[in-house]
Amino acid sequence: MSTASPNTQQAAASPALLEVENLTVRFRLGRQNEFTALHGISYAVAPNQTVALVGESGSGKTVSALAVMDLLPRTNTIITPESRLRFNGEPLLEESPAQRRLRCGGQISMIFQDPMTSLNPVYSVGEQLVEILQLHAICPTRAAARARAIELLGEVGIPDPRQKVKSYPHELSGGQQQRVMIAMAIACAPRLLIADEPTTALDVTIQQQILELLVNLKRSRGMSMLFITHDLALVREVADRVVVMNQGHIRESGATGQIFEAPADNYTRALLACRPRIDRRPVKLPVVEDFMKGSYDIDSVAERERGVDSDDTVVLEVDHLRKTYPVKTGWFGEKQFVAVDDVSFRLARGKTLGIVGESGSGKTTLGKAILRLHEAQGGSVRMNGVDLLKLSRAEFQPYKRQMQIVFQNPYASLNPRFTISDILLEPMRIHNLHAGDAERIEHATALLRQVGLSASDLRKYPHEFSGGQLQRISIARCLALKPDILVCDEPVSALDVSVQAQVLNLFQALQDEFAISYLFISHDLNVVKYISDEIMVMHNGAMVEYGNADELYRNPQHPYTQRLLAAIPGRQRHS
Amino acid sequence: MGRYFIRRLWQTIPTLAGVILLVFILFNLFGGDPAAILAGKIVSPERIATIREQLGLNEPLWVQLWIFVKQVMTFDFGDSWSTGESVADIISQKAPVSLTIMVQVWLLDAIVSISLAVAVAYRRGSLTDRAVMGICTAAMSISLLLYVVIGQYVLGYTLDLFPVLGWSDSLWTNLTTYAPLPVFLLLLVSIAPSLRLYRTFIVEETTHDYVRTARAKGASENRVMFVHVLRNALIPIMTNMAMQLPGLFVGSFVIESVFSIPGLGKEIVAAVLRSDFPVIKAITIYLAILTMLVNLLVDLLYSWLDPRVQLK
Amino acid sequence: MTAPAKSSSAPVSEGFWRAAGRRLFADPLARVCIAIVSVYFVLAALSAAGLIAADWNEEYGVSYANPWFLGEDYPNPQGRNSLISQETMVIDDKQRAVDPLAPYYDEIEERAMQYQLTQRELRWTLPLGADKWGRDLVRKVIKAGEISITVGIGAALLAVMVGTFLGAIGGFFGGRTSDFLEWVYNVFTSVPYILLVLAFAAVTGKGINTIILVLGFTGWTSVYRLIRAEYIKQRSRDYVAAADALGASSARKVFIHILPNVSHLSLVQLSQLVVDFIKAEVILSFLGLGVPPDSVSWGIMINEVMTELVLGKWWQLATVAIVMSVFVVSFGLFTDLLRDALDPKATRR
Repeated sequence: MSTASPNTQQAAASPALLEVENLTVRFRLGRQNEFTALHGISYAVAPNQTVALVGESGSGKTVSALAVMDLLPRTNTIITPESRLRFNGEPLLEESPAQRRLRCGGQISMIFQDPMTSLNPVYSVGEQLVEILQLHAICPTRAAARARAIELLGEVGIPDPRQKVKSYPHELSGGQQQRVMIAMAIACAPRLLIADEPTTALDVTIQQQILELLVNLKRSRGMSMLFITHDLALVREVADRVVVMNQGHIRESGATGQIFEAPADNYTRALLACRPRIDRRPVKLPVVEDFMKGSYDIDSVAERERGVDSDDTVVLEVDHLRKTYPVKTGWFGEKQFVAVDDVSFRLARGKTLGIVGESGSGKTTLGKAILRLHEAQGGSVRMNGVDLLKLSRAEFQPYKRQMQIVFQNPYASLNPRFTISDILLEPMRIHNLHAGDAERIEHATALLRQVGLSASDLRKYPHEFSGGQLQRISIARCLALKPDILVCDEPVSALDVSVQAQVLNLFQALQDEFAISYLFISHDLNVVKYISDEIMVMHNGAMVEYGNADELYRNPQHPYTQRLLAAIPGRQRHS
Repeated sequence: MGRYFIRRLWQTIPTLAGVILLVFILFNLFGGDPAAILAGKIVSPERIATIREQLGLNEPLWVQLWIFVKQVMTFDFGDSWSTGESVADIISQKAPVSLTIMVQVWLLDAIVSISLAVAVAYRRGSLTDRAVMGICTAAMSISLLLYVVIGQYVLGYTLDLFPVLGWSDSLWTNLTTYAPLPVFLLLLVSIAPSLRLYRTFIVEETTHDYVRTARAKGASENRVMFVHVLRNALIPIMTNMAMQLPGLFVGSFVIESVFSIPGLGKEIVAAVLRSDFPVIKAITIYLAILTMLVNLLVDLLYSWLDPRVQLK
Repeated sequence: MTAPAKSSSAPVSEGFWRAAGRRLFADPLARVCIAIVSVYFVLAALSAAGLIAADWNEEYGVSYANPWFLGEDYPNPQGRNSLISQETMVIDDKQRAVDPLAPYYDEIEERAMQYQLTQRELRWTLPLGADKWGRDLVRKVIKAGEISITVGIGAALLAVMVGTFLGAIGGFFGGRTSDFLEWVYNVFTSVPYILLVLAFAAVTGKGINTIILVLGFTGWTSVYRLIRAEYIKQRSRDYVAAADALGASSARKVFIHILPNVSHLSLVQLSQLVVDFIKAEVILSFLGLGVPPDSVSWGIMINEVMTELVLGKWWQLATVAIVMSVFVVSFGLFTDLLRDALDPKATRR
């Protein structure tokens, strides 16, 4: 993978393949309500060019692509008459639905975020490829289409395509499924490929392979690509031009180099800066507000030193922890699936241990086993010398006060039928803290203020808050018990980049104030690097590397860690 | 596959045992003294004592249970208390009559409601869709009995379009003369819930991402609906149809009573009214076994329709 | 892509039930349905309290008295403009000689006089006509409605309580408890529902309470299935894990955390089952297995209709058909709208 292709200048000069002009899209919600998703945006994609649409959720980046494909729901979508969509000079919005549908898959094709659900589960991979080849009359006979399907699977890097052509989607891995989607997208030699977050649902190492495949196919087949993503860093390696969107507006667009080197817009600057970087660790992460107020100098913020000293107090000792699940085999047989295998670590007061791994590595299971939310099958978890795994339920109850957990999905981790006051008071009621509810409410109010919310929020229900605010409430719920240890299970993964920075700052501030120890579980290597003193890398349930955060990133020992670090998008690769 | 079958059959044993126990408890503990029922109005203590002896009622409960289990194992439930016919004969005579009506209803219901469901799902959210759903709700809320009584009165009696009631020995006469009105009335009742259910299945499928992929591939709306959506929706639809199979043998109690059709449904009602326990017990057990076999069939159907399901 | 949920500036925070109520009442059709169903409930309650229709069993008109709109001149088998000429039987000595009861005639009449304290003047027309025994159909259909609605609601409450409780236990705990409940469920569903009801009815005899128990204890399975599936889904939600981490007991998780998140499903089931059980009661009573015949219900009224229709007396059928259908259709539509309001994302079944 390299940076922008050399023919960028040449491509930009030729007439555009896709022109989006003054596109305004509104959705009807209910009888009177309308929601404007796009406010008259304009951009163009030249032949052989890759344009990246970058934005957080609600920016309208996907809506604009679906408008090009005519895939927005007909019943409640309004595209205003001033909007223009031109493909190869032809006005798309004046064509009949049938004409536009014929362009789909033939001249313009699209791949989506989640390949598992995007493939039809009841047809084999081959049948789905044959369908598109026959729909666009690429292959005259079924046999020819089938032969072509096998070629295509080979081209997108599926091993053993002759066998795999007969498989059903669920029999393939996530990466292979996305390859099949790509094979379908390129089957009819389209001039434009729209890729909507094509790597977001995949593991880091797979992400990189898919990205490479897309870049190579684009080059070898002379396609244009519209690449939609929330991850600005990813774009640097792929795109010729970048369009930054926010809430239905285009904030900035320009050549990739210009956007990254000299961003003109404050929002673009903020997006670039608020994502934690591998090579920097400011005391406080910049947030969008800092930039929107005016110029903000990132370099003025001091760097934070991290690491664990030998004289730090150890608050948690985990030794040889093992967690298995029974898996039914045959009649009465049971096999044990090992989710966590022989994991040991020490957690010091006021320090963060980052746990990194891809999906299925056992990192979440590990966190839950320590809290006894899952029952462990072996090893020990000691706090002040007491093995928590050996205690009875009643004996363990007081220890629950000292260890709490923050989950990934803030919408699911708060009971939707409880008010914020119910949510915050519950831990205090269960553990009988404070005298009476009046005092508890006082304390809950103080907690809310601490996480940046106000006392009036106590009467509200979770659905009235945004994801970032809900995550703050989850943290406040944990703080109600004044825990020593907080297990953070992907706590910022479901949040937008700009909100991530705010929540990470909150975690940092709380650690500075109360010396809470964090067990920070994440697949995001940048975030883990930023927040952790020590890092443990997990792979297939086993601990493959464990050590000082800076040292591990600088000099990874295990081949898996090396692969993982090499796959970080946007990482500058000097030899 | 073979192993799967053996395992599934093995798993049905506890359920069957449960059904046997349920029926036993129901009839032997709560059902009153069968001897008294059998003896009828002639309350002669000697006669009741004889009957008790014959039925093994003087034995302890577990022996009675064993007698019942043996009856189930040998499929020999003895004779009907009221007519003296053997229960097996009754079932083999009556079930085909019920099937004559019900198989038609089953097939026509599927054809009509699947087609309508596709048509309505096409226009989901529209006024037509809402109106059809409202009518379905109304239609399925009204009692079957009213359809039958009013239908028989108006179409059979007043308008004289169909014979009011009756049944013959000839299958052809039955199909052409006596079955049409009951079939029509049962269809009126069964289409509303089926249509609603199948529409839900289809609409649920249209929300999936693969539908968007199919459109992005350039498939026409017709192709999206029939090749992609309907193929997936057929999985729950056909499962639902298979689950209706045991009921076909029983027939409709109401229809058979009102139209004097000598099917199993009418027989069951008569048996219940006469407290003819052997008949009720036998039919209950047979149907439970049939239901379990159908469940097995549904599993097979599933693995055939849905490549994600594997029988292990 | 939709706009992310932002903290609303609304002064009053809407809880789940309040919001659902607002959505429900915003629909004019829902308001109509609720109004109709309420009228039925009020009538049923008044009838249960003995304030109206307590005298439904008394003779107000002649047998098959005409409804008012047909007028008094419409032929009636009891005499006026009758199309059937009745043969009057003269009791002479010859008759007396063969009738074994003959010696007691005087005594019978004397006894009968003691009961006929008030002789009401029988009317030729009544608002909706009369049945064979001259009972006023308005009173009768109200009383019948009281019984049918009582049976429907009583059985539905029982089924939903049993189903929700067992579903919650089975879904939350898993393991042996769950296996046992699944076994019970499998046993109950192995027998076709109506046959199960008939088998229960065959051994339990008749009576309103019995029929409520029979319907309730056979009808819990659908609620159980639904609630169990929902508990299995909810128990792996993070908010339950969070409650666990906070130290909440199992009972607290089952009833305080999860129950409010599934109770709307129970409510919809309750609403649905009321209609289903009223229909079941109608069929059972019609087949002679439901409410005892000295009582009255919509099913019994339809049962009586069968013989009247042959005589051309269609008004009892019309009355019970319209009164019952208006109720169940309103209730059915209400259930649909309730489901939509409580669970906007769910599709109708």
